[in-house]
Amino acid sequence: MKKARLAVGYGSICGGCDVAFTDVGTELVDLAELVDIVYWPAVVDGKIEQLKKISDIDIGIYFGAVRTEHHELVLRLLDEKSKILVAFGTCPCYGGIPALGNVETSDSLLQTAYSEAPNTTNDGIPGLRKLKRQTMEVPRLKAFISAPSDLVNFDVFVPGCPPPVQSVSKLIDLIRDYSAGDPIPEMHFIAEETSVCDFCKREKPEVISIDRIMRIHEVEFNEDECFLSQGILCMGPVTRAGCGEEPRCIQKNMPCRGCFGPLPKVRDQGTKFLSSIASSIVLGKEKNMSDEDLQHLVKKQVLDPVGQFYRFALAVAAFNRRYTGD
Amino acid sequence: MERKSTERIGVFVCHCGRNIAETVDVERVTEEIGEHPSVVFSEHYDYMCSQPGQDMVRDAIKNHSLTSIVVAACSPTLHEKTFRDVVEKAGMNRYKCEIANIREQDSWVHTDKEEATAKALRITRSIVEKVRGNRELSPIEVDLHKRALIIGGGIAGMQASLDIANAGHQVVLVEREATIGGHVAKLAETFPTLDCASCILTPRMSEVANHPNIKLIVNAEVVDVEGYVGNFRVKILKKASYIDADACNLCAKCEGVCPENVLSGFDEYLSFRKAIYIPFPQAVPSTYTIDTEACLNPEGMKAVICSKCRDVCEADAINYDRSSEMIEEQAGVIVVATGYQLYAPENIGEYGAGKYPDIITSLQFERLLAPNGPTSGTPRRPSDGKIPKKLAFIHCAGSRDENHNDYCSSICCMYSSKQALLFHEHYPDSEIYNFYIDLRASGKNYEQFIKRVQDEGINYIRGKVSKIFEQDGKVTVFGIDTLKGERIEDQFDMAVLALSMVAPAGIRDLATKLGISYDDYGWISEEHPKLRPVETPTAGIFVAGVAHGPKDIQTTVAQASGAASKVLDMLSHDVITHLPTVARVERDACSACRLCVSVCPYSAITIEDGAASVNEALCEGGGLCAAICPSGAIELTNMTGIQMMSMIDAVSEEPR
Amino acid sequence: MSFRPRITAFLCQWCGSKGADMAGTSRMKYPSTVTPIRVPCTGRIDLTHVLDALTKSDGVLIGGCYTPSNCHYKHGNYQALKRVELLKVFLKQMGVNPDRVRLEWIRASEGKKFAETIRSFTEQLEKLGPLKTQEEAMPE
Repeated sequence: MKKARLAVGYGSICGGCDVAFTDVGTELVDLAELVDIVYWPAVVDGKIEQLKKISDIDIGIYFGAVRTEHHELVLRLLDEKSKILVAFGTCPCYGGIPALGNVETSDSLLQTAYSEAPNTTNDGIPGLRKLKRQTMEVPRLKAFISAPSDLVNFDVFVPGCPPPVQSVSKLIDLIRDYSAGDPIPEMHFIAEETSVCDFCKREKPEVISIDRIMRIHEVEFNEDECFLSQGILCMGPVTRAGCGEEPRCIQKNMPCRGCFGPLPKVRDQGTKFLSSIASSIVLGKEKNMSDEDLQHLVKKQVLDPVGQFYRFALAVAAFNRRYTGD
Repeated sequence: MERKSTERIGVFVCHCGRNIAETVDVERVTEEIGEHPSVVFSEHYDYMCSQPGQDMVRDAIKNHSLTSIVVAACSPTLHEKTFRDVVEKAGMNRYKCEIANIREQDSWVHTDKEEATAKALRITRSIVEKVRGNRELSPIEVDLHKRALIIGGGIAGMQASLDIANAGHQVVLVEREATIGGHVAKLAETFPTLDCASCILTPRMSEVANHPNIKLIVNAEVVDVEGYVGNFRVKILKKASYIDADACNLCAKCEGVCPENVLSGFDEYLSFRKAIYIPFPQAVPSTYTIDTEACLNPEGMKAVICSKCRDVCEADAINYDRSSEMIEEQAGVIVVATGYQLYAPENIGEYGAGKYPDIITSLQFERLLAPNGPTSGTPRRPSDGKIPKKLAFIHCAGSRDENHNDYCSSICCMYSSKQALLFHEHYPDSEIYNFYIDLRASGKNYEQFIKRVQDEGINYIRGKVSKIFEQDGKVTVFGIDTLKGERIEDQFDMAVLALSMVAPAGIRDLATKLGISYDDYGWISEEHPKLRPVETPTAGIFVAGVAHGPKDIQTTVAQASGAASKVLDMLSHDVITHLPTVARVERDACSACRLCVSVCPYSAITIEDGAASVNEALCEGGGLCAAICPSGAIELTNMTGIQMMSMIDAVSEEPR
Repeated sequence: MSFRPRITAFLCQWCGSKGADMAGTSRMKYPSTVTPIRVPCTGRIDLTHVLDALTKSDGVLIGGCYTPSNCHYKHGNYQALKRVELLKVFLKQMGVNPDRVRLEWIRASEGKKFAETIRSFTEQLEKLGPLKTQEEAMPE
C-alpha cells in the first residue's frame, strides 16, 4: 500500500493542536506507518519555501486561524496541493480564540502591542512599516481575522479547542480509510450532530428561568443539576457534542465553553445563544417589573457578550469584526 | 406574461382603483416581479377582490399550473381569507396563498411614485420568498368536550348559560358570590324603559337554578386552568357553605338568633345583615350562607364558640364540619363574564365620599330607590334619614379623567338621568342637578329618554365638579358651568357620584390563568374589535358583558348571546379545527435542552424520549420556541428561519 | 445625492403591523425608507434575524405589542425586549451604534406613533450614515 502524503500547516496557533496530536500516544505509531509526513513545522520542517516546492499532498491539515498574510498563504498552498483538506481544531473551523482580536481593529491591536503597552519601548509598528531585517520579513496583519473555513473549502472538520483524543483517533481512522481507497464523506465533521445537552447527565428542572447570571465562583452549585438553570452560563445547548462520552468540561464540574462550535443548523453560535439566554433571564417573571428595570437587569447580566458568547466562533458570526464608522 | 420555472408562483397586483395605482406603478411591479426566477405568471387588475379579479386568480391557477400565489393588495387582515377561499376552490392549498400589503403600508403612506414602486417591489418580493417556503397544510383536528364553563353569574353569564343550556348543552356556571344576579340584582329600575330590574332578572335567575343542563357553583372561584380549546380542565375552589342548600327551607330562624351584625354588601353597606344570611329573598341558590369572616367561630370553623344557628335550625341544614372543596370540571369552551366593580370613591378625595355620609355612590342610591332596598324604596339620606329635597348627581366621577380612568364608563349619563327621573317622579317638588361633561346617550331611544328627563324639569349643568364636602348637614358642590362661563358653588341635601366602572379585583390573575390578555385597565381583550368581538385571542375562550369593557345591560345581553352563539357553533362539531401554522420539531436535531419548554406560553411543548414534542392543539403559532432554540431544531411552520432570512434578503435588495 | 437609509422593520401581526396599517388608513405620510416584514410575534425574532437584517440595511425596527399585557402570546414582546437589550451590549462592543436597532411598542390604533417612529428613526440614521466595517471606513 502506498503511503499517503501528509502535510500540516499553521495559521495563528497556540500549539495546543500539536499537543493534542501527541495525546493519542501509541496510535502515533499507526499514523507514522500510514503516512509520509512531508511538511509539519513541529515535526519535520516549517519553511514556507519548502511547502511551495511540495506537490501531491494527499492529506493537508490546517491548524489555527488566519491573522496574517502569511497564514493565508499557507492555507492557500495547502488547499491547492491537497486532495483532502482537514480543518483541525476550532480555529480553522470557526476562527477560534484568536478571532476575539476582531473586537479591535488591527491598527489598535498593533498600537497596543508595540507602542502603548507599558513594558514596550519600540518606536514603531513592524507590520505597518513592512520592516525588513536581513532575510526576514514580518508578515502584514490582515484587516481582521478570518476563519479559514470562510476562505477555502475543507473536506473534514475536527472541532475542539483542542480536539480531544478520540477525535484524533477518528481522524487517524479516516486517514486509514483514505489510504485503503475508501471515499471520505463530504463536509465531514468529527463530532456529533446534536448538542452537548444530549450527552450531559445533569438533571434539568421543568422550566429554565435565570434570575441572575453568575460566575462559577459566585455560587455554591448543585453538581447534579443543569448549570444554566442554576444561573451559570453554559454553552452546552448551542454547542456540538463530541468532546467525550460525557462532555469533558461538564464532567469536571465546569460549564461548557462552546469550543466545538455551533450545531449543524446554526451558523452564528454567539448570536443564537444571545437570543436564547436573553430570553431565559427572569423568564416568566418579566411582568413583575417595569420595562426600564427589566432592560437594566438584562444589561448588567452580561458585561462581555463577545467574550462569553462568541469566544470560539466570532469569526463566523454575522458581525465578526470591529465597525468603525459609528 | 409567462416564464418557465420548476416552482410556479403567480403574482397578482391590485390597483385598488386608484388607491394603489396612483402612487405605485403597478405595471412595473407586475413586470419586474415576473422576472423573479420562481414567478411564472404575473398580472395586474383594477380590483383583485372583485368577482372578475377572483376569476382571474382562479383561471391563472388552472391555466398556468401555479403552485402558489401572492396577491399584492391591501392588508392581509382584510382579504387574506377571501383569496385563500378562492385558491382552495381552484384546488390549491389555502396556505400557498399569501398577501403582500402594498396599500396600507405603501401606497397610502408615500407620495413619491418611484419610491413607492420600489418599496412595493421589495414587499412583494419578500412575500414571494415567504410563499416559496410555505408548506401545504391542513387544519389540525382536536376532540371536543361538549360542555361550556361560564365564569361569572351576572346578567351576562346567566344569559350565556341559558342560551347554551337551552340549545341542549351542559353548562357549568361559576359565581364568586353567594348568589347569581350580579349588579343588576341591586338595581331599582333600568333605563330607558324603566323596567323593574327584579322583574327582568329574578325569573331568569330561577330559570338558571332549575335548568337541568346548568350546574351552578356559587361561593367559588376558578383557581387553575389547564388544557386547550375543546379540552379545558378547570380547578374551582368552592368555599365551605356550612349549609345544605337542599335542606334549608328559608325559615329565617337562624338569622333571628345570630348575634353578629355586619354591613350588607348587597345593600352597598347601607344596612346591616347577620353573619348567617341570604343576600336577598330571591337569591339563587335559595339558601342561607355563613359569612365566615363575620361569624364568631374562627375561620374554617376550627372551633365552635357559638352554635346558635345550628341549634335553632329545624331542617338540620347547618353543619360546621364542612370544608372548602376543590372541584374539577372539564369543558370544551369557556366564557369569561366577570363583570366589573365600582371605582373606589376614596380614590377621589376631593369628592368626599366615604368621609361624609350624604355623599354616596350611584349603586348606593340605586339601593335607596329599590323597593327591596334598605329603605324599602323611600330614598332617605344616610346621615339623618330625611328625604332630600335638593340633589346633585355628579357624572364622570373617576371617568374621562386622566388622574383616574381616562375612558368613558358608558352608562353613567344614562343611569344618573334615570335616578334623577325616578326620584323626581316621586318628589316632584325636589330640585335636581346633573353635573356632566358631555351627555352621551347613543343607545336606542336613549336620546329621547334624556329629553324626557330634561322635560321633567331636571337641571343639567355642563362642567366638571372640582370639590364636594359636607358641613352642617349640607353638601356643598364647587364646580363650573361652562355654558354660562360661571363658577358654581351650591348647597345640596345629598350628592350621588356616578363612579366609573373598573375591572374587578382578581381579573388579571384569572386572565393569566386562562392565557388571555387584558388591556391597560384590566378589561379582557377581544381578538378583533369589529370582526371577532366576543372571541379572545385564545381559541375556545370567549368574553361577554362588562368584563370586556363598560357597557349597558342591552349590549351586555346581546354580547352574551353573541358569545353563546360562538360557543354553540363550536359545540355543534364533534371535532374542532386549529390553525396548522404551529411549531414543528426535527427530533434528530433536538437535544432536549428544555429552553423551548420554558418559553412556551401555552405549555404546549414537552420532552418525549429525549426530544421536544409539540402538542399541536395547544400551540398558537407565536414562534417563541423557534427563536429560543439554540440548535435550530424547532421551526415555526410557514415562518421558518430560512423563510425569514430570504425575506430579509428580499427587503434589503436595491431596486434595479 | 444625500445618504438615504434603509430600515428593515419586523412588525408583529397583532400590534406593530396593525399600527402600520392604521397609519395607512389615516393616510399619514412617512419616508419610504422602511420595508416591513410581518411576523407572528416579536418573540419569533431571533437576534440572528436582526443582525442579518442589519448587515443588509442601515437600521432595524422591531414593532410589537405593549408590555405588560398586550402580547397575543402572553410574553413574546418581553423576549424581544430582553434580546434587543443584550444585543445592544454586543453591538457596542463591536463598535456599532446600538441606536441602529430600535424597539417600539405600537398599538393597533397607534398609526401616528408608527409614522413618527419611522420619521425620527430615518433622521437618526441619516445622521449616523451607512454602517461601515473598518476596511470600508478606512480605505488604504
